[in-house]
Amino acid sequence: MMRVTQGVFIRQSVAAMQKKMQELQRSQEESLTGNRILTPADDPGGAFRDSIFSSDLSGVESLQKTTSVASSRLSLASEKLGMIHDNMLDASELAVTMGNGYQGDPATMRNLSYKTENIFDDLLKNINIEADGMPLFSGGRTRNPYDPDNPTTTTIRMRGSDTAGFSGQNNLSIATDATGNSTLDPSDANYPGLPTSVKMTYNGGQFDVMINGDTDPSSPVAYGATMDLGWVQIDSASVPTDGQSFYFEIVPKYQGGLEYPKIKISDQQSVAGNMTGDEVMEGKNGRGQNLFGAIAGLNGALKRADPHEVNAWIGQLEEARGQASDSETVTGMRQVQVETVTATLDEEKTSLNEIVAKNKEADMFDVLSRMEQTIQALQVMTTSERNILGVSLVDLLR
Amino acid sequence: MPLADVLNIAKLGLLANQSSLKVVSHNISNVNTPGYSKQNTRMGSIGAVTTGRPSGGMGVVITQVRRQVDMLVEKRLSNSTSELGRLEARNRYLPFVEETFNNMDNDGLTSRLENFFSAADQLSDNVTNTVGRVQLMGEAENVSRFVNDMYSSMTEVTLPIDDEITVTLDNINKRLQSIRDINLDIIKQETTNTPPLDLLDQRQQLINELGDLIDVRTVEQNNGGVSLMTSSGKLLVDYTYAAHFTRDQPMTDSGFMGIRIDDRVEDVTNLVFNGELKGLIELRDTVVHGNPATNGESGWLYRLNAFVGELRWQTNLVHSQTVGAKMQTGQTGVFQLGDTTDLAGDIYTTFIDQLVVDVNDSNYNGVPPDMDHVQNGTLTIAYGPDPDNLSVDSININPATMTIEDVRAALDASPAFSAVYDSNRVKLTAQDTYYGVVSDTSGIMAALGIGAIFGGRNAMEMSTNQEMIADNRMVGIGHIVQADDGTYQFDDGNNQGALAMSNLRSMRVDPFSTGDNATFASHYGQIVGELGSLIMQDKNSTTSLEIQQEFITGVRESVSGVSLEEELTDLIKFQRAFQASGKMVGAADELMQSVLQML
Repeated sequence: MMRVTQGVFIRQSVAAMQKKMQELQRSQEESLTGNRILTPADDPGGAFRDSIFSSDLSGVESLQKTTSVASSRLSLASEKLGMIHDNMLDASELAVTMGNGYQGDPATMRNLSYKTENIFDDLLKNINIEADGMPLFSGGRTRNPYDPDNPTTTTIRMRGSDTAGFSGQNNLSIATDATGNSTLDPSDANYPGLPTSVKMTYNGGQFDVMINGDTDPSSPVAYGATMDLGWVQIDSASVPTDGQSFYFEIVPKYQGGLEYPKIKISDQQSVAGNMTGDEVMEGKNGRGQNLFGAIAGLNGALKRADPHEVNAWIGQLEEARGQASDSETVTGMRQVQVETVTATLDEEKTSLNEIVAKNKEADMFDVLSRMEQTIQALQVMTTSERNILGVSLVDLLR
Repeated sequence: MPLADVLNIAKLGLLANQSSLKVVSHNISNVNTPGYSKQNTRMGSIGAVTTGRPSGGMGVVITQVRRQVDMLVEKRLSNSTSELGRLEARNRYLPFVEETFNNMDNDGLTSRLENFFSAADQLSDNVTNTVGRVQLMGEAENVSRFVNDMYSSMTEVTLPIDDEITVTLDNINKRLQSIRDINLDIIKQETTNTPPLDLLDQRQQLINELGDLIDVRTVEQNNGGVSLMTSSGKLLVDYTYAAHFTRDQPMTDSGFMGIRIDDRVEDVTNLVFNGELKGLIELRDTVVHGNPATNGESGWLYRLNAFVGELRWQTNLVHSQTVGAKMQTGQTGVFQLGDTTDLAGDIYTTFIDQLVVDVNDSNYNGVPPDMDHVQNGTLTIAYGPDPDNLSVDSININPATMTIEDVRAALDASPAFSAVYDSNRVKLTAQDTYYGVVSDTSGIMAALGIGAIFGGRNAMEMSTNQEMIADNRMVGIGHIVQADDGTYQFDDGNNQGALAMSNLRSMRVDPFSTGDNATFASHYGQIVGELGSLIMQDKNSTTSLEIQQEFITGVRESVSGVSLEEELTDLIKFQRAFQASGKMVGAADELMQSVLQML
């Protein structure tokens, strides 16, 4: 039979009380922090999972912020593209109204050109819209995609007669300098500014040059391989036929970047962001319509009070309107895609939050139950230990 | 029977019970003495002297006073203390290491890294935002400072551990001397008729205490003495000898002073196999400072350094191939080129004859830490005054044939920039207004620390590129892009660089060269998880050993402990026997009186 001594009682009592106190402390920590894993040693696997899940959660939360902002940005872009589309629709309607069927006063026609000038200004304003300090259509550049002070010309087109439509030609082109840059010189005193439609009509070895509804100071210009209008030089490959008219417009030059900053939608995956200015306004990789050019052309036709020329623009304006509509549609689709990603990320975030909580957080009911259980055990223990440790033969021998 | 015999027997009874009462008293007074073994007396009757007449016995005598011990239990108790001592020492300090790596409160390295990656995400959303660039560098600074703190915490933990090793050795020395002295006393006393009971207890207690500090093997000697040895066979105590542990050269792998016995040359640091001393040495040299290259162990400081090294390299590799909000006009590498490089001479070809160097080789002390990552590849640079139309130059880097000087010369030969040494670093200055890295398949820019976010060779030195802190426009956001016509241009709102930085979050890396490709968060989780496992394992082992020791201590208490009830019962027993013997003296006296009266 094992001997039992006071030492055994005391040691066991101290050890049991200590254990219960440790349990109580643990319950206290869990109730204070709300977590069941406080240090990696509490659950090494849980700590490992927490590291991964927390990283995933942080990534999702971060992505959610960026996609949410990107979605707002695309929404604004879509709105602006809608306005550009409306501008082009207005221009088309104006062209139809003032086209062949128009029998009114030419002065009225000229006066209506203020509408095209307003549309031109609106286009410039809408395409240069900024969000969060960055132009929306600048293709990854911080400067505006279009600046009236940085002009260029459209390619030269021809009409065989006053009633004909536009057709491609290879006679005339804008001359370039030795470095390949356009000879268009905005600093020249006679530079006409924007929006400008230039009409060059060949007759008898010379060109009559009209800038919108006015005659250019250089007009008439004698035919040559290179003809100098002062603010631009024109190359000619062959002599035109009398009565042929050549047209080009002065428009703002795209000075944005190659692509809009991409939008990150998941780890290692990003999608194209907004459309670039040259995609919207010049139909890059698309219909190839220069919206500024079409409006400037219509403006010139109105100022020249030429219903046939106005009529010639109708097809191109329709195509330009279609191009604006394409841009709006593409942007809308991108917006939906990003919004879908945002919604998915939201669900993912909820799931991850749940996983992180399940992995790490304490079941408070369990914590409180354990705490209550431990307190009760301690109370019972102190009472019983007082009786056990109080027993001594010394008392009986008194 | 002569009446004198009756008196004599009564006297012997008085003496024997008196002695027993003395032992009971001794037991009661030592009821709380650690290591004390209950003593008891053994009484023997004295047989009758044969005189030819029938006669009874001659009384009682104490034949033996003995300790109530079970040597097997004593031995098991002594053996179990060493492992417990080792684990308890570890349990004292491991929570400090654990706290350093703990991220459960969302205030650790993982959280800071996530903030860094998230800042890159936010920057990619709008690269023109100055706040975004400042925030990215701020988060990078947070990461590097926290890593510095982690390193400090780890090394600061080892200082008290090392101090405690010294204190533990002092405790061991004191106990060894005491055991030797007691040994001598026991041997001397064994030759007398007085058994050295209390000395035996004291010696056993000291051996148990010693076992808590260091692994001890006990060999009993015939003369009552014991010899103590370590598991590795080092003699600790004999009856004439006590080993004396000292701390002096040579240094251990971790840079701390070694442990020697009696100033002998041999370093016995690694010959300690158990006890508190072993626990402390393990913590210092294995858990914290373990290094596969020096002692075959992967300590947590090594893991931290490897993790930080990979983070530094991957971040710098990505960032060195980005362009900031403006193209570069000049940059200086964040890494010193090493102690062996003499900027004035041609010492490069003498010492650093290749780029791929063993960064731990003493010949290359202080070379840029990521030089061994450089590969045979091409550095492509775009340069020129017009960001819309940049020229391009390519520089081939071959680490097998080029020295650092060769690299500098190759960079300097590029029309994009000049390359010179400045304060033992490579400094680039644009030759044609601007330059920017298009791509670097060699990794030389990151290795030299040009366009790097993180500097420093290890966790202790980890730092952030101060050029970028001072001018946040140097923070990489985009890439040089190639237009459809083949020309290169710099779009200052391009976010490809920031996106590449944010993709570091999910990049698969292998910081420990184990073939385990995982994200930074996963690797860090593994580091933390393994540390947690180690601590949990130690705690479980400690609990198991505590239960085991509790049991053995209980058994010892049962065998050798003093029970007050028992002693009080014995007290009554011997008191009554003493009283009875006294009565016998009285009775004998009365008998004597009667006889005398008869005369």
